Amino acid sequence: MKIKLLVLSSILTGLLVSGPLSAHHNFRSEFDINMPVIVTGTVTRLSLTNPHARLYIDAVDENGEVIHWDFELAAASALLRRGWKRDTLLEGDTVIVHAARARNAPYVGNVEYVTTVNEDGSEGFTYGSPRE
Amino acid sequence: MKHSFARPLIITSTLLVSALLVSLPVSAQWPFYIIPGTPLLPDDTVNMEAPPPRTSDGKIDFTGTWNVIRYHQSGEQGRPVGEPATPPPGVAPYATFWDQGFGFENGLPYQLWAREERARRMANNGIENPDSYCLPLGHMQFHTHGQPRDIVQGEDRLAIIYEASAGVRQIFMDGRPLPDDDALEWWYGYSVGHWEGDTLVVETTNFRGNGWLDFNGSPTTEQLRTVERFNRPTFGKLEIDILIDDPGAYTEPFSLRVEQSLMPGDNLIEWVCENEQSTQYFN
Repeated sequence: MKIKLLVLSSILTGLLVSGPLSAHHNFRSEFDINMPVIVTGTVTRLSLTNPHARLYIDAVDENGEVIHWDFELAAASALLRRGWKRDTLLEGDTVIVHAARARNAPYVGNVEYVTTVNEDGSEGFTYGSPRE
Repeated sequence: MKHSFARPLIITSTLLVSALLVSLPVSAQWPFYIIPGTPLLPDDTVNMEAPPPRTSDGKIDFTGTWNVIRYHQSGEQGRPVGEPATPPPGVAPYATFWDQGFGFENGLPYQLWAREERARRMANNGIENPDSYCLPLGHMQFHTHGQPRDIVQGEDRLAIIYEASAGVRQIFMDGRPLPDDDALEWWYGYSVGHWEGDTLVVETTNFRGNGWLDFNGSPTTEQLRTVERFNRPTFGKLEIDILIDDPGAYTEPFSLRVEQSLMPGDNLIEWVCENEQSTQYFN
């Protein structure tokens, strides 16, 4: 019990006192906050890399074509400290991605948060990706 | 001198824990280890105000994993907004990752070219920041970065390992002088330290030019000299007062205050920079 408390205390202290968690490059150098996008699709890969993790999903557009989306997440280390695990999102999972689009690439975005979709179509858990 | 391994760690108050438990997913992903000797209070929290640990010869021991304390309100990507926090009397303005001049009434004392260069870098969305290309950020960005850093203190040198950019900085405390002007210039400069009471005073020269003091791109030159005064007033707090003296870019020296909090039981997480996935989209 004591150790669990220490773990929680440590992680939450980190969140409270931390400065920018993953301000690796200027968000504006790549993305436009005024171009939000919500994409529902199927996870093809979650890559927990630094300085940014990547989430790749396939989504069907209004013409029935499969679009391969490439989403930037916060740093893997920042995600891990926020509760992400390597099996948080698995290939084949259905997710709803809330992101800001890249300014010079059509199917690229920076994730604000991801919500999982259960088999019955209901929404599952939401995982944030800090942009700070 | 033998290094003291009885490093106390600090645990924050359970009040903070209970305040956030309801809203955040929490899961320790990195092996978590409480070092024996950690001074816990009866309620299983650490006495935050306990005296700092010392090495066997009585020196303050800075060893630990540290996280920057941010006092300002944050806007997009953590940019400081609103009014700057007021430091204690006699203490320099707080450093901020984005803008080291945030706490100064008129900003930093830039020379004209430096002011113009900063404006150019900002207009360019900061894509030339060394960090964008997995290169070292410079001491002030490292000091104020949201990713933690480890201080590993030995008898005659101290290493700071930054999770960000996997940076490594060494500070020599064996009495050696700073190198002469013919020495090479480095991303991290060349640092020597000495003790003034419980304060570790570190002077650094031999920096490369074209540096970045902050995310906005306040420039530094090869004339940069810094004097950092490290203090650990309690188990859980690190204070660094930094003098920035760069006659190549600023009209006068200025000072900044950085404060960091110990991260009990935590450690750095491996950081291998693979930013080629992002740089292809920069513009």
